[in-house]
Amino acid sequence: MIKKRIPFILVIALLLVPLSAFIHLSTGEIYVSLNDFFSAIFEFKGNNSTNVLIREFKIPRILIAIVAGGGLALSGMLMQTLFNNPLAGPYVLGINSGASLLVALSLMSGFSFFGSDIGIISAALIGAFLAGILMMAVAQRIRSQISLLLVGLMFGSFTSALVSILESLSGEGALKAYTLWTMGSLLQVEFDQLPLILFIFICGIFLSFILIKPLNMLVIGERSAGLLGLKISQVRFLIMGITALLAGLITAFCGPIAFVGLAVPNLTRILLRTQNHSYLILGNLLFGSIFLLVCDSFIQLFSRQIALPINAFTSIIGAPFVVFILMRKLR
Amino acid sequence: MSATHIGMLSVLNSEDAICAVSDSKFVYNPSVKQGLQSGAILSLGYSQEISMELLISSGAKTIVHSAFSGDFPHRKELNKMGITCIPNFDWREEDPLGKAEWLLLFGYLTGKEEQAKKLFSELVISYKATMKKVKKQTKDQLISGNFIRDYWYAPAGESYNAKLFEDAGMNYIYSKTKGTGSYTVSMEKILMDTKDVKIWINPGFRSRAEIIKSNAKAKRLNCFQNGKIYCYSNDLNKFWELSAVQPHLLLADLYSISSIPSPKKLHFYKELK
Repeated sequence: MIKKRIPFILVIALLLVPLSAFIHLSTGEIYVSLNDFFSAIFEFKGNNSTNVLIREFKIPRILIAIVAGGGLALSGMLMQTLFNNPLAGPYVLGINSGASLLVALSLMSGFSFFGSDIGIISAALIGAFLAGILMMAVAQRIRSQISLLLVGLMFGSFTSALVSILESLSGEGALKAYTLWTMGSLLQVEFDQLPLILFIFICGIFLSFILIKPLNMLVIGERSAGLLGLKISQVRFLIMGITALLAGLITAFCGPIAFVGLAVPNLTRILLRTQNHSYLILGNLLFGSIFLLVCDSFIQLFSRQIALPINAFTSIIGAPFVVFILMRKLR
Repeated sequence: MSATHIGMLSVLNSEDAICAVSDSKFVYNPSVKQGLQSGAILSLGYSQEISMELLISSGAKTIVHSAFSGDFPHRKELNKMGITCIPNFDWREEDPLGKAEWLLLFGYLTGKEEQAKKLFSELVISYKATMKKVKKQTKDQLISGNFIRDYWYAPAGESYNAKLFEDAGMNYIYSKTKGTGSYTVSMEKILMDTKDVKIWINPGFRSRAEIIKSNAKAKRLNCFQNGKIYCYSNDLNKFWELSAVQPHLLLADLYSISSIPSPKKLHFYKELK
């Protein structure tokens, strides 16, 4: 029964991804037919506004929603397994804060390289990785899950304070650029950047699948997994590397998007009721993509009435869900 | 004291009435700049957090402030010290001539009422003369504003800028929208709405490269690829200081942009390369 239930849910989710993408396509302010859509792909003309709209605006937005949703959910799941804590995630454990701090430094440093696209992307990746290493070092010393989360939150506050100091020292232009970056966006990605983004995303997924066995072993706890022959430090390093790669990639191109990495892995566990990471990886990729596509569809739907930033919207949906998880745990 | 206030005092040749300013880095007026350098005029810091100690030591008897966030801080205490605070709401004006009319206030404050009235009536005549030149013919479509992250913010149809575009005979695509502030447009809509637009006014940057750096999607707009882009970035501080009190020159610029293929003599505007 269980064996059939999980694949069934995953197949449904797999079908929901293109459906959500179609809904996303339909909720845009400018309606495009499927005919327009396919002609923009197969017979693209640079002087045709509808073609440009689909290729340069709609397709990158849909694809980056899939990548960001799936990638953040996957990195959240990896963190939760690594720290054996359902409240872990790139946002809570300071991975996003690390990326944000380095992006703020790069935007406000005044050096043109750091202000360029490559500079910002590198800064986000390095920041995410350094924050991950730091949290891993702390996790070695602190066993309490709550304490670790508090350290993550403190790290977030510490980086916020540093960013505030940088903001007070920087000029108007850099301040504006950083403030806008913190709102998050699925619209800043260019069609030409998609191959690089998809390549890194697929690498992250591939590496995650390689780690299925160690991830499944980590569920019984690090000590027991170590006794069973798992090279803990090596696995930790790989997991942190994949998390930083995915969270850093998404933070670099979309800015911070809160709560997806925390809420979706929990939702996936509730729906799939399994600890088998082959299912969990697939589930997180699919549910994360659906979640962000639906969130962004709502933003598109109400864009005439209100200009909602994606980071604010995912927080509005995600925060109550995390409170629900906490209450469930406390009960 | 806001940039527009310095501009109004400067056309009355009353810069010597200024003893302190906030946001001194935005000052354009050469004699006020010189005063700041020599220490004759005090710089009070940013308008949101001005130094009260410096303000009092400047010996100012009258404070003209923009009142963006209500009353001037410590107004009652300042009044007790004999300092008068005058809120200036020129920024709320939706009509360019209405905004320029605040010149009369500075005329009264400096004892140059007649000069202020004369200057104002002259600029009204000049403004209306430009309006009369406008021919009723279909002109190239115009867009104004720029992206702020995922949305385009354009002046709404009843705003100060929209009124200027209308008076200059420009074919502003959002002239029929309601509101006096900004009109927010999604990226998709702006792409489609501007497919025939040939003139882009006020992107808020000094060059096309800066526009792209701020938002790469801007290069997909027809007005970026095939149109002309003008901004008041010839000298930003000059624009903020003098455009309110010289709406006739501002209108003349806009009229030239919409009527002449490559206008040469522009007061505030510059074509972005």
